This record gives sequence, C-alpha cells and structure tokens, in this order.
Amino acid sequence: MKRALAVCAAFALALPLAAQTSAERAAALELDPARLPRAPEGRWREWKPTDKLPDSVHDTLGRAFTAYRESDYAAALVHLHAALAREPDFPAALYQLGVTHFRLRRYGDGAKAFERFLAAAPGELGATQGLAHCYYSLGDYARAQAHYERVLAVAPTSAEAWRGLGLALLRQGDASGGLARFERALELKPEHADALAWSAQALFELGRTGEALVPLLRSIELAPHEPRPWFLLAQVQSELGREDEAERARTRFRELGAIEQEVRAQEGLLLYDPRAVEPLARLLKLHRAARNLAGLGEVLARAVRLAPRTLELQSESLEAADALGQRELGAQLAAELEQRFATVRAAWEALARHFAAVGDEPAAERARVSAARL
Amino acid sequence: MPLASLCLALAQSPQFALDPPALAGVRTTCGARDKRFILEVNGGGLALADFDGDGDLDLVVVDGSTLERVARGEPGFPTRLFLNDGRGQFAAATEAWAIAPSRWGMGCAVGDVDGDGWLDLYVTHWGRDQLVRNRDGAGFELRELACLGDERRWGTSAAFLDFDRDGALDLAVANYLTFELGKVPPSGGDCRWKGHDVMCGPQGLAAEHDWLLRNTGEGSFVDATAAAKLAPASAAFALGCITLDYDRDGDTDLYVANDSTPNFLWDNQGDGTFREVGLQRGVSHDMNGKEQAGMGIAVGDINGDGREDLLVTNFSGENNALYLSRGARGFVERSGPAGIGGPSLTRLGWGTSLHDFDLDGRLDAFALNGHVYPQADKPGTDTSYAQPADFYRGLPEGRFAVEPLFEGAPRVLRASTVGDIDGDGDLDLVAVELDGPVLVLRNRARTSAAGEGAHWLRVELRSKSRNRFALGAQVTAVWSGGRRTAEVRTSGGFQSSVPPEAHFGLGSAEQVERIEVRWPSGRTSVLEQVGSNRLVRIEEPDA
Repeated sequence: MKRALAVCAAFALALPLAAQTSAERAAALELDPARLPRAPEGRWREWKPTDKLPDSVHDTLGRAFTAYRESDYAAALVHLHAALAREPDFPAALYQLGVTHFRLRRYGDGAKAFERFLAAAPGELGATQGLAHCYYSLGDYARAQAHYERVLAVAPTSAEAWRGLGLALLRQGDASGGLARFERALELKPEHADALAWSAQALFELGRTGEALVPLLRSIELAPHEPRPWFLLAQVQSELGREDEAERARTRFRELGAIEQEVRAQEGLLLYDPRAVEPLARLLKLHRAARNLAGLGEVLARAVRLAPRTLELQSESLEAADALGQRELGAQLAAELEQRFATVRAAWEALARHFAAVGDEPAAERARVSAARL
Repeated sequence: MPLASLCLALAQSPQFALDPPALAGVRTTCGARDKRFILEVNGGGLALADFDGDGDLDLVVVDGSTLERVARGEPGFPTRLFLNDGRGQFAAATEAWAIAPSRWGMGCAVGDVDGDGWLDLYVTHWGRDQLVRNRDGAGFELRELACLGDERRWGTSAAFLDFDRDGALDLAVANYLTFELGKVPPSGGDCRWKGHDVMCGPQGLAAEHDWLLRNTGEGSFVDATAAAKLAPASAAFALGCITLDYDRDGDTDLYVANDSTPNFLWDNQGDGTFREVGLQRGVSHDMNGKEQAGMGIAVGDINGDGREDLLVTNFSGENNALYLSRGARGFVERSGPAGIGGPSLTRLGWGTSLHDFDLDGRLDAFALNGHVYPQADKPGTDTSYAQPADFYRGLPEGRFAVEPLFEGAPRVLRASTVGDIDGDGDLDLVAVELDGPVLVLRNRARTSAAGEGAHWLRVELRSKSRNRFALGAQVTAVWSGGRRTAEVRTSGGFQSSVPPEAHFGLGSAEQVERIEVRWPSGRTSVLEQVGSNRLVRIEEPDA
C-alpha cells in the first residue's frame, strides 16, 4: 500500500481529532460504501492528487487522515463519510476510504470504495493496487491478477504490485508465472523479505527445492520474526533429507507461529478499540519475544502517544525502548515510570532492568533497593 | 425447448435436488437463534447405516437442546432413528429404537462394537456421551460405561477404528472444550469479531483433550488415551476426526481438525501408540503456515495414485484446505491450484465428503456452509450467516469446478452424511440446517441424461474378526481408464457417520477389471472382471 499512502500523504494534513461518540463510530462501521451519495458523472474526471483541496472538505479530510495515522480507523470513517456527504465521490476521500477499510480487514467494502475511486478518477489507475489486494483477500484471484496487470501497465515499477501479481498466479496454480513476478519484484526491491519467501515457495512447488533455500534463508535473515519462512524452511529441509535442520525450523516456527497468532488477535482488538491499553502492552511483549523490531517500534510509537498509561504499558514501553536502543525515549519513560508508580514494586523492578540494560549499574542498584523495600 | 437447450439446462442443473417428502417435518434444535453462546452453533450430527439389516440405509439424527431446558434440568431432545423404506423415504422407527435423551447431543459414529454383525451407535454430547447397542436389528439399548465423560466436557465428532489391530473396534472421540454455563460470557460481553459483538469462544475457553477408548472385547471400553500417547502437550479445540492409513503401513492413523489451533495427524506407530506428526506431514496449517479453524474432513484418492488425500473445511477468511498425499512423506496443500481455495475464502464450511457423485470416474466433493455468527450479516464482514452450499465437480488434472450444490436460497448448514439411500447407484446426501429441517438431497447423476451411461460399483466387506464390517480395509478398483483406492470407514464429514462401504464411479466402464482388498488382518482378496452397477459383498478369505 506504499503508493496508495503516497497519494494521501500529498495532503499532509494533521488537524486535531474532534471527539466522537461511540454511536457515531458504530454508525460509521455500519455504513455500506455503496450507499454513499454519488456525484454527477464526470464530476472529478480531471482531478489530480496535487489539486488544492476544496474548502468544504479541507478540515474534515484533515481529521480523517489524522485519525488514520493514529490507527483510529472508525474515527477516520466518520470523517471520510462526512467529507463524502459534502463532496460526493471526492476521489481523495474515496481513496482513503478504501485504504481504511483494507486496514480494518473489510475487503469487500475496501473494494467498493476503490472501485468508486477509479470510476471517479480513472486517470489514477496506477495507485489502485489496493483494489487488487482487496480482490485477492476475498479469494477472487483471477480478478486480482487482472487488476494487478492493469496497475502494472501504467505503474511498472511497483514491487508491491509485482509481488501481488505473483501471489495471484501462484494461488491459481501457476508457480512458474508466480516465480517470474516475484523475481521482477526483487529486481525492483532486492531486500523484499516477503517476495523472497514467496519466490522460495514457488521454487519449492516447481520441485526446485535446492534453489529455494537461497531466497528463503535471505528472507529469514531480513525478517527472522516471520513464522512463514520457517514453516517453508522445515518443508524444504525435510525434502532435502535434512531432518535435523527441518526439526529446528519447525521448533522456531512453532514459537513464532504461536506469537503471531496472538499478535493477530491483539491487533484485531485494536482495530476497533484503538485506545485499548491491554492489547498494546501485550503486543509490545509479543514483538519483543519475536524480536520483531519493526513491529516493536510501531507499537511503541503508538503506546507513547496514548494517555493515561498503565503500569504494564509503561513498563513494556520502557523495555521496548531499551530493546530498540532508543536511549532518550527510554530515559523519558523511566522518569515517568518513577514519577507515576513510585510506590509500586513492579515499577522499580522494571526500572532496575532498564538501568542495567543501559549500563547504569548504580541506578539499577538503587532501583533494586527501592523494589526490595516495597 | 430445442433439444440442445434442454440438454444444456440439464447439464447446468445442480447435482443434487431437495426431496422434502423423503423426511417430512424432521427438524433439529441447537439453542436459540440469536446464538449467544458457542454451545449453540454446531447443530447435531447424522449417520447413514443399515441398522435393521433390511439392505437399505437408515438415518440417525442427533438433536440438541436449549439453554432454557438445561436451566430447568431437563434433558435435551432425543437422538432419533428413521427407517428407510428401500426407496429413500424415511419414517420414524418404532419405540424399540428409541434412545433416551441425554443432555445436548452433538455428533455420532457407527461401528459394530461387539462383533455381532449389527452396527452400533455412539453419540457425543455436551455432557456424558452415549453408547447405543443394536439388539440384532430389533432395536437400540443404552450401554453404560465409566469412560463417557462428565457434564462439562463437550464431545463433537467420533471415529471407530481398530488401532491396535486386535480385531475389536476402538473409538476416537474429538473433544472441543470445557463449557460451563455461568462461566462463559454471553455475546455482548468483551468478544468482538470484525467490530461486532459476538458470542465468546473458542479462544479464551479451555480446550479438552481428545479420547481414545480401547475396546476390551464384547463392546466394553476403557480410556486408553494416555497409554496410546494420544494426548499432545496442549489440548486443542477438536471438531472433526477421520481415520485413514496415510502412510499405507497397514495400521489406521487418525486426523483431527481443530478449531483455531493446528490440526493433528496421529501416526499409528503399530505398537499401540500414536505420534502426532501434523506439522511434519504438512497437514497442521495452511500453506501460509497459519493454523485454521478446521470443521469437517473428507478423505479420498483424488488422483488415483492409491493414496488418499484430505479436504478440510474451515472458517470464513480461511480457505478450505486440500492436502494432496505424497505417501509416507505426508501432504502438500493444493487448494488454490485445485480451484477451491479462493471460492471458499468467504464461506464457513462444515459437512463435506469426497466421492464420485456424478459417476464420471473422478472424485467430486461438496462443502456445506453457514456462519457461526448471526452478526455475519452486518456490514464489513465479507461473508454472511446463511451461505450457498458448494459442489466441487472433479475435473481432469486434480482441479475442481465450483457449482451450487442444489437450487434455492442460501441456508445455515452444518453436518452431512452421504450414501445411496434410494438404491439407484449414486450417492445421495442428507444435511442438517441449523435450527431447521433435516434435508434429503437426491443425487441427479442416475436420473440425468448424462448419468444414464454412467456406471458404478459399491463394495461391502465382511471380515472374520469382530471388526465385522472391516473398517480400515483398503479397496482398490481398476477399470478401463481409471483406478482408485478407498478405505472402508464410517467416520467423515462433521460430527457424522457414513455407511461402511467403498463406492466407485466408473464413467462409461461397464465392468471393473480388478478389485483388490487389503483386509485389516493383512490378508488380501482379488476379484477380476466384475460387472458394474451392483453391490458386491466380499467375505474375508481364510488365512
């Protein structure tokens, strides 16, 4: 969705969120995009992402983008619907509506929004790989393939679209076709860990098991926290008769798979309740356990924005900052932890771990003493 | 209508047609329609078998209960037998076949537990299960056993198998979870799906270990789960189970479909124990390495290589998984290339089966669908509560075309069983609509123009051991243009049981060149040049 987001970023708005009632948010989630008002045909045909925003939707869209950036997707929908009520079929709003539904894993609604965007602004076809992603997620691989091909005809340098096209072909049984597209994605973006893993899958399905090892191991090197490459590695090693290596890969897969399952569940909770504290704290712990630094960084940034913070979230945030080597943030979180939870033993224990991690042994010792007193 | 159009219309008709008069007015209940608790979503199971020995298939319907009845301390609705008149019309059996109601019926399994040549019945429950003995084709009687569980555990599917090859049928029981009213929050609590309040579970509830009950002879059972090492480190939410000899080493293995947890493949070690090899053999997860929510299971030799393949129905957002056998090395998932991966992604599948329904010599399959959440009809779910049932018509090269199973509006379907209920040679289907009628679906293969030239063969076995119906035997049929191996089993689908026989569609072949039977005892039988369109009963030879 990188190119997709680039369109939204063109607006670069960051207006403060207006408070919404839970009823407004619930109503936004109940609204089918097909029921949004329609503009006269051709109204936005000449629209370009660089065009000035109409005054009528400027603030509303700004709030929608802010909500989206803060992962508050229901709030984003409220503002997007308001914008589209004022300016029916305004392409930027429709586009963001598609992206938001995709993030909410509502692929059917995402597809409807993207289709309307494309109908309103047919010149922006190159930005609609999100529509193909939606078709793919709905299991319509042939339609996904067709749309990826349309996108690539006008935007041939999108590694994501090549990867998506490869997946659509692979799912339809065309492993050779899939492999060629994954390789094209890798020419454009050699360190695309997911494309590497899928190219290994295609090679494995083609019976080129030995060759599959190279991209697979590179994928694991780039994203060691992802369970799927370990799953495939176990199959590849087993096929190559290396049962010991296969068993080691299975063990790692089991560990990471269990973590990923819980990550999905916690992320699912946050999709509709973005300010829930417990899932955030749990996600920090899970990403740290999987050594998923990218995921950890994302959740940490989100946790830091959130207030009020619980002891658990504050402690986990501190551990995350230490794991990421974010010294300045760690110091800030440690100070806050000490200030807010000075009478709680677990807080001092967390501080002791933090000071030890950053090499401040005297402070660590003081924290241990404080913990022992409580 | 011109003849060509008529032929086209016939060819485009769904493979099955509803036959409401065949089982008029029979409905089941599984809680309330708003489904506030996970207990209320499975529905009851089905079994087709010849219980009265008159040569046709009778039907067992397992029924559930309501939370109000449970609260009042009343038993659930009874499991019922319907006798076949030989033409596929069912009527309630007499009082002699009545089964006293227990708490809340779920699934069932059929097997001859005492070796008397009559098929007995096992019924799983939320609560204690029931073992029902067949009194020489004259009626049922309950048999009390110590190992049938307590009031909190919840059994789903079950499978008879002779795991220790002592000639007596043992029993594997798939257990779901511990369900205690008052301890599970109703929908509207903290449980959400796609932004909607829904009932809770199975995540967050305690999974139950499955059971292996060993037949001590004469149909009495003891719990052999621990001794047979059938207990994994962590229990899983089991919904489906089926027997198969995946590695063709002569003993019966067991596959268990688990909800939201990896599926199990229990490899029979041949020494009275099992080893769980699902991950090693490629059938625990989908091709992405994601655990799915397995419900129903079908087994069949799709490509005629003598090894049975697996089809597992799953939750919405997950594809139904087709695992092609690679022999002892295990399986590889090929749902996408087979053409069933994508179309099943928005469905939530339950009952399923792999058989040659259109008698063209290739295996077909079906998936009965319907969501667990009534809230699936709300916006943004990418699915629906009532769903069309899908027929997967077998095509060359292991591909399937997805078609409507039968005409009519989408329904909330659950369990299924298959068998030739009208004796015309093709396999018919019985299905449970949740909180609705039990549906008899007549196969059109033999009545359609295309089916007139299609041939078939049914094979029944009679063993010398107490496993009289030879569950676990492998039957291989070879005909001009095709060959297929099928295990004689009664387990399959979801919470249901099928007749103990092998059925082969032969296309235009008028005879089978060779039938080879590998008996559970290890003996073999070979028949050559067997005419088609008949039921062949084969007796086990002497040693």
